[in-house]
Amino acid sequence: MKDSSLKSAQLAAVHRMLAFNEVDGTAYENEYALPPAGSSHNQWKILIYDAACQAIISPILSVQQLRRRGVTLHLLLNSEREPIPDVPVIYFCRPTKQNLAIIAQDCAKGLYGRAHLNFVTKLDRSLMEEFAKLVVQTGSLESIASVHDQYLDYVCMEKRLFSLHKVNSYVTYNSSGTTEEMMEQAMTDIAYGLFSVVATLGQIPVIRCPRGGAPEMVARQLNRMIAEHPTLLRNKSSLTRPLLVILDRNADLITPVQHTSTYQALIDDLLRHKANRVEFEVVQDPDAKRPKTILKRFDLDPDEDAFYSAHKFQPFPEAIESNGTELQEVTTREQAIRSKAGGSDARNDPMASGATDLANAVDSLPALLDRKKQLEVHTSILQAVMNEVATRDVPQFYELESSLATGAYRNDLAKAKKEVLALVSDETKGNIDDKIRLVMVYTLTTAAKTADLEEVKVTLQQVGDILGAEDKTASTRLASGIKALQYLKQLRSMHMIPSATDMLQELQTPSSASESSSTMLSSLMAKATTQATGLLAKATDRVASMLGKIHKHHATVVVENLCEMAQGSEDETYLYLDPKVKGDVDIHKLRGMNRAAIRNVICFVIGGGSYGEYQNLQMLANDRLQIGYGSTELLDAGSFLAQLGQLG
Amino acid sequence: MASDRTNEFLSLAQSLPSAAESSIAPLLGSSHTPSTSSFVAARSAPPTPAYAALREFHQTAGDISRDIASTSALLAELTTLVRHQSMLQDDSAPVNNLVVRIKTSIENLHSRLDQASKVLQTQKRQLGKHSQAGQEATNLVDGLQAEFAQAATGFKRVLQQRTDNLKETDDRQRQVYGNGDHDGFHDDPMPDMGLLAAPPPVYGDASNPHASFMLDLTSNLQQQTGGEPTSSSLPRPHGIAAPGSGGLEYGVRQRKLGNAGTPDAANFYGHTGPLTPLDIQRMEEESGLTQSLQLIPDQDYMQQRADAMSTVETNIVELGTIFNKLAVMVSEHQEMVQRVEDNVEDANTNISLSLETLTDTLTNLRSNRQLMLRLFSVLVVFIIVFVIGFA
Repeated sequence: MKDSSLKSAQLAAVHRMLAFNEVDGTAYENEYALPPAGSSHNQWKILIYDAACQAIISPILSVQQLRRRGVTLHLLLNSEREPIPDVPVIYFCRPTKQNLAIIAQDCAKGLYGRAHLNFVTKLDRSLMEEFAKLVVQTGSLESIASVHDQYLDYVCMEKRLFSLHKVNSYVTYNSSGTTEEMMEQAMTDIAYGLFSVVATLGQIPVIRCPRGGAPEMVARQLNRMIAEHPTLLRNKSSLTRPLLVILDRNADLITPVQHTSTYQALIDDLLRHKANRVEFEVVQDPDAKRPKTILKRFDLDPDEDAFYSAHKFQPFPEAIESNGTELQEVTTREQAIRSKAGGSDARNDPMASGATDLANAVDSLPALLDRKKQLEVHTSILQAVMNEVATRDVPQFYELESSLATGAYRNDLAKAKKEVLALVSDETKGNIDDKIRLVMVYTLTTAAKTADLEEVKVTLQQVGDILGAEDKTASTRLASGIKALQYLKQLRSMHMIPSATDMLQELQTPSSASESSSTMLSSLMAKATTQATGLLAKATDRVASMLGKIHKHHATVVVENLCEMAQGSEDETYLYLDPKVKGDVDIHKLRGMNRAAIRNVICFVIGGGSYGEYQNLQMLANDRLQIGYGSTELLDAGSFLAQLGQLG
Repeated sequence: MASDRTNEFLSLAQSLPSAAESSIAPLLGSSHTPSTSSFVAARSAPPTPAYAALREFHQTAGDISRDIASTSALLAELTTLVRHQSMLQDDSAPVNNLVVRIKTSIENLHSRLDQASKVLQTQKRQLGKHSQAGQEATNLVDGLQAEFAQAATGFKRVLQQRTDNLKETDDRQRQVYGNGDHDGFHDDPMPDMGLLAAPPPVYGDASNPHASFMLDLTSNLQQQTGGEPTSSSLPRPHGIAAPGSGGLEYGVRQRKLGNAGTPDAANFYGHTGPLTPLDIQRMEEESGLTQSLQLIPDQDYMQQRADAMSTVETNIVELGTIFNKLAVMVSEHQEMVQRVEDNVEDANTNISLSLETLTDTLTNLRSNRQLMLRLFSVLVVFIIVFVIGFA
């Protein structure tokens, strides 16, 4: 396999599954090399999955691709299904009692041809026994063709981004109402999920995690699981073993609530964005008496979409700019081709000389138009994001938050308080969530006195009441936000959060950076005003501050230190587990030795991750270092706030 | 990295007593569990003849798919042959042979696919509109059609390449023999060859680049599909007008019919668009007289070449009708849902819509009832008044 990313590995596994797990199942990487559907190697079949497996399949395979693989029908396991005799069926679901009962029932009724069972994680022996009993009793044993454990229990959003799809994970892991057993179960689930990831990659990782708490529990379980399944990991070439870093969300609560500045993170923060599908409302002809809002929905493929993959990590203004230039370029090229094609009746005979030219041009036109369409999709998304950014004054929040986080106000607490108060009390700026998030960052990053915090909170309440008068939902959100703040304060008083300012390092930006950002801005302004696509030129000054300042988040710092094996950093204190070696490895001994450079890192956060963190981590990635990012679930700031609110 | 546990499962199942008689209802434990006997009944006898027909349908579909595969194999052979054809040797015999074979098999497949979709239509009526089995079969046919379209496009491309090759050979030939045979009806000996290199009209015009198959006939066809049922007036590959397809004007057929009539000089000298192979052939025939007077040694060879080319072109033109239909199919195909969960979402919206309608009806009914009550009470009061008034 050329591409060793997690997504392609998962895709290959799913392809193999759709080919009935045949031994010679050379998973056809190339769609066009596939034998035609219906022939012996690519039989027609029905795919039946449960909701969890639907979430796994939907970002990696579209319906057309499924069709190419011979899947003529895909149905949910617990929906009403009609008999389709003689067609083989592939079940793909979690190994639960209910699912097994439904499958047994299907087999008993003889709904389909032979059944191929695939379970997303390990099917327990006891469940298998029960299922076998059911099947034997109904006399439908011959209809079961195969049983497989797939170990695919994770959702790949992008090449290097995955989530375990555990709902409400932060609450589960931190609530006082969670019993010991529930906690244990949750940790086992995570370990199974991570084991799936490791098994799909087929490489035995080295596990690093902070001592104590959830990460250690997960790491130890995972370590044991890998050690107990040596057959699953028969990959011999383990020269470049990946490094799996397991972190706890509690170590860095700032990142998920902080405002962001890059394209993808802003989409996730400001629009409805779920599993690579973005939705937003657009007001059509605002001049009309009753402006109509229509819902727009786009599916983004971060790996196929050239513009998106190139610009998703870029600061938002740069994304706008490149969208404009690319669109212009495509339009001119299209025009050139069209004029060439249209000019065929001109004086010189086009058939004689430029025939092949013409044919080429015409051939390239559809591709060009596709690209243009894609760019236009991004234009409208950018516009929607821009509208949100402008109405909510996101840059101001972003700026203040990042300077709080980088410790710019470390020695000037009074000024920090003043600035925060000014932004919080201004009811024209941002919505209630933005304000709550700002106060949270303030609480978490500064060593402000309790009295100061109280004062800020009271102001927040007042503003919230004003906003709540207009919008009903704002007051409920305020209540939940206040609760969340309560929870954070509690954490702070318990010293569970390390004093924050030293967690974030400011990137040593040379003094010219500010200058360059300002020149970039002016050129941007000039371009934006001249461009026909005209993306709200007047608002560009508002996003200006999103350029420049970059700082590293906690996870990024940890990963960097571990990769560089820096002295006196996490490398010395973190636990070092190697499934190939029994027991703990003494890191101090290892430090003396020559260790191979790390080429592949997977960073996993227990308790919810965010696109901001993902983007931040990718700053470390280069040709020699690949960084994957995963979490129990991917959260936008709003849902993370809601979870914090439940805890308060 | 999947682990195969089939054997484990099977040995486990075999170790269990195959007690079919014991009741399983409590184990399955859901409300809609039928008894064991009905399971067996369901397994032994397919419910309706429609399902039996469906089974047959699957078989035919499998045959078609296999034939498509074999056609693709032939096509691959042809492709290598055309690609490796050198300038010097003339192996047009095997190529032509293959072309004919592929052409017939494509035509054959085409008619069978047609038939299959027709059968499907009737079956769907029996199975009900939204039956899952019907959906499955529809998707299957769609898949087959896409497959077929791919094979057919491959064929088209190969034929195009072959024309190009022929043209090149001719150019070579002309350079070798010199060009003394002028003053025919053009000042170039093979004026049509240049035209041949350009895509013939079936390749479509540039203004319609969205269509996957760029054919200038698509619009006609879409008209047709809009107006009449597709099955009754399908384009026939040999340009034979289908009964009842009076209003249709196929570019190809039109030209052919025009050619069958008397040659119209103004038509082809003032031709602005590209010439069809039949025009060329006709030109050859006409000019044959003047050219033969000059007694050029390689006249026969040229004629032969032109003939070969025109056969290739005719093939393309004939296939054009098939492509037309495919273009429509494929464009229909592309509107298909993109993501897996869309189905579910659609279902959800449908459910909520129906719920809304139901509540609407309910409120309607309620208000109606109230109205009735009111009317009735007024009536009663009126009657009482009436009775009392008369009493």
